[in-house]
Amino acid sequence: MINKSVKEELGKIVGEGSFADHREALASYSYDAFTFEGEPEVVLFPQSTEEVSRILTVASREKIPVTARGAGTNLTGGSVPTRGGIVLVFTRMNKILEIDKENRVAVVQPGVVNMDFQKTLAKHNLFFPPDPASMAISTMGGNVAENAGGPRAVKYGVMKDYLLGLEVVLASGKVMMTGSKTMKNVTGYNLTQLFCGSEGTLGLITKIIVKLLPVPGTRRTVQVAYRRLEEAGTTASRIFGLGILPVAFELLDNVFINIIEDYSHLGLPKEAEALILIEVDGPEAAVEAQVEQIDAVCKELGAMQIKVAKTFQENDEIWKARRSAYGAEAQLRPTAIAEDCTVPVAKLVAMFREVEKIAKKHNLLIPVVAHAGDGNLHPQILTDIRNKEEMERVEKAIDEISEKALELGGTLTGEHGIGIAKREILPHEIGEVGMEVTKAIKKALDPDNILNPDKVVQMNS
Amino acid sequence: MVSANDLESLANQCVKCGLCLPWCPVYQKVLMEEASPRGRVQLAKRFLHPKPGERIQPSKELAKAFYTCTVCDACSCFCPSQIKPSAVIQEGREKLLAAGALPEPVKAIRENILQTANVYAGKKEDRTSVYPTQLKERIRKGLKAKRTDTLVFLGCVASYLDMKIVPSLIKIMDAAGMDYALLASEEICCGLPLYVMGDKETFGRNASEVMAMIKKSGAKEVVTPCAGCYKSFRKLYPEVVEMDLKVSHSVHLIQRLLKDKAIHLNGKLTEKITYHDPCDLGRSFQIFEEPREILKAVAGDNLVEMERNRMMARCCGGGGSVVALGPELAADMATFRVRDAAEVAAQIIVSGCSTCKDNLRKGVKAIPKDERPKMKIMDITEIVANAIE
Repeated sequence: MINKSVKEELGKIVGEGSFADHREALASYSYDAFTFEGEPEVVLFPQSTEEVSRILTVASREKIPVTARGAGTNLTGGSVPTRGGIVLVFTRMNKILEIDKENRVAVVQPGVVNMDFQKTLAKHNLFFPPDPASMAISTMGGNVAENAGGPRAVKYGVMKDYLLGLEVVLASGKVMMTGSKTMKNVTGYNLTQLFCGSEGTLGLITKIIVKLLPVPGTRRTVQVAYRRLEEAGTTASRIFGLGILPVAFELLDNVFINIIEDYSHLGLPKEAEALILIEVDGPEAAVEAQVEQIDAVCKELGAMQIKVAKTFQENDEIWKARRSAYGAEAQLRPTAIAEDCTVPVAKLVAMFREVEKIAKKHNLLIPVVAHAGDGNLHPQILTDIRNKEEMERVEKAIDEISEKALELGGTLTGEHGIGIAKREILPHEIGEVGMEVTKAIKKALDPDNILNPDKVVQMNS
Repeated sequence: MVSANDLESLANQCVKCGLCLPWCPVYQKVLMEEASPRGRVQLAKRFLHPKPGERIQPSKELAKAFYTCTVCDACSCFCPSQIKPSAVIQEGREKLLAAGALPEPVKAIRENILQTANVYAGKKEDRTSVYPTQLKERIRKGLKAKRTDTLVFLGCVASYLDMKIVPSLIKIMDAAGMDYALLASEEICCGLPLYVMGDKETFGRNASEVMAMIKKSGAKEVVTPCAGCYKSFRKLYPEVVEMDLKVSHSVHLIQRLLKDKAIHLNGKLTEKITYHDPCDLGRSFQIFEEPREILKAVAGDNLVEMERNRMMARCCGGGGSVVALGPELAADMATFRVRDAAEVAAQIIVSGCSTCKDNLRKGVKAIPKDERPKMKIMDITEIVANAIE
């Protein structure tokens, strides 16, 4: 419990209007996009590094848990408090501090919305690739803390690939700068990357330095439907074999194709086992040639349907199928649990088949969409959280999916993080020694376990 | 209509993905969950259908959360789960009102409507102050009682607050040689604010009264320059009264007059103009192309589009009860829309809603002087009236 005088102290740090402890505020900061809910005791909206530092000084003195939050879109419970305490909302630290065109870097505050940043950069003919599905609202701080990525990861990678430096407030309230504005930097340990994907458990990010790219010339999307998943897998390896690195290579399975078609009537072949979306970008002539090569490969592999976009508008038309996936599934069942297992690219089809078997075994509806180009699957487990019996089967299915991914040489999570959702099975992947090192790092940086406790790793269990 | 059971299941279907947040004009300004569709749905759930130990009681904060929604409905349009946050929040407002927890400024609007038949507590006889002198004269001689097919329902904002919409619409109709009737000082509020604040019962009684007047006039069509009145007549009245009237907005009327060549526009406007879709015409009824066709006839290629247009149009912030509850918040939201227009180098924002016009004007003023773009705000009736040859 945070006592009254400490609340007053915290209130003084952030000022009126940036402190809330009324019932309604606590209820509306009790969730993110995962199913778990938990209320904080206080919600704070800091506006400067200094305020964050002073808040953490108080929190560490009083041993108050602190959960950092951006837009609260993460899918593993990372921004939901488990032990009350403080929810620290970064949405008001939302300034783009610097766009350094000459050095191709930018410095932003953590509350800057990814999409706003992208739009501002576009005016300078610059490009920041990480594109999580939540990018229209998710914040740069959250994107770093979760090491977010999206469809463009095939060619452009994820957040960590653009991260050059950070300003971090440590549990004690001390402020640290890591990295620099340089493209290369091997000075000391790579502290910048330690915080990338740390889910708010090691320190709070208050400034971010990222590198930028020039805007690619043009982009074109191809949509292909195959009777068999295997042909989709072969397409990927054949295209890579031709020396083409697509921006995105997305794959939807038969269950999804049917759900989307019933919902959006886009004319997708319902008997297809795989629908793939391939996007390439670059100079006009190169893109033109690549699209022709892709078209030829797909024809040779006996595609049921091929659609090649000729304009940006047609690109968008094609992406409609992918974009309507989550809306379509939401019509069927009230709860959707987004799994995030990732396997080596060549094992992708095998993993699809495993999910199919698991769905059948537990009598569950599990459509799968995948960032197939990087081996990242999102089996969407459709259920109703209020149905206890079914939720038990869901739990089993999730465990089995995770185990299979590990068996295939994969990982538990490609881009959603561990949070609460996967902390129990973390040891299965990283092992005993990995857990020891993880705990040692956590203990060194957060000795009192006040930073987002119970996420990623549980210290007192 | 969505039933209570449906609403509970809708609220439960919210997966809290947060994809409504970029579309909510209030959230975009205050950046707090309580003021977002997702947050309001969470609060509505705990207020209306709580699990044990989670119940939220009526309070000032809860009322603030529900009554600072502009009812722009963008959240409902872009929700992947297709839950209707606006319907869930509407239920919240209805229950808050029933619990006697109406915020004071909203209560005042209700009192004004009940006592003076308009939201501003304006005098009945002042409703016609804005009429052109000639029209006043004609009314004195009995035009309003004339039985014609078309009744013009002007709305409270255009009658009491705006000096230009009414004379412009009259100018257009007179130029076309149209026959029309007006309720003049007898006109009363359509009742939309009552509905939005959650008082469906009074809204129903008020609607019956309005309909009785319209029926008495013998009109077969109602034309209104007010997007709010239009929404009332088209969408909300059928829920509570029998509606066998054709309902048109001024954009429909202007379009018809242009088609019939009853009016001619000179198309000589040289300033860049942009059209702001009012929520009550755009997202509510998909009236997107009609106003744009008219504006093309006025400005040709000088009509430019804001990035967020049509279904995606950003609410000006003037909807719901926000203007009463937080006038500064409403004006702050409008600054975003004014900046949207400045971004595409527009010099005039045209809308088809008197509330949008009023609030966007406040939005221009709310932008700090050194950043303030030179931006004129006009209703579509004005820009058309100016362009009549």
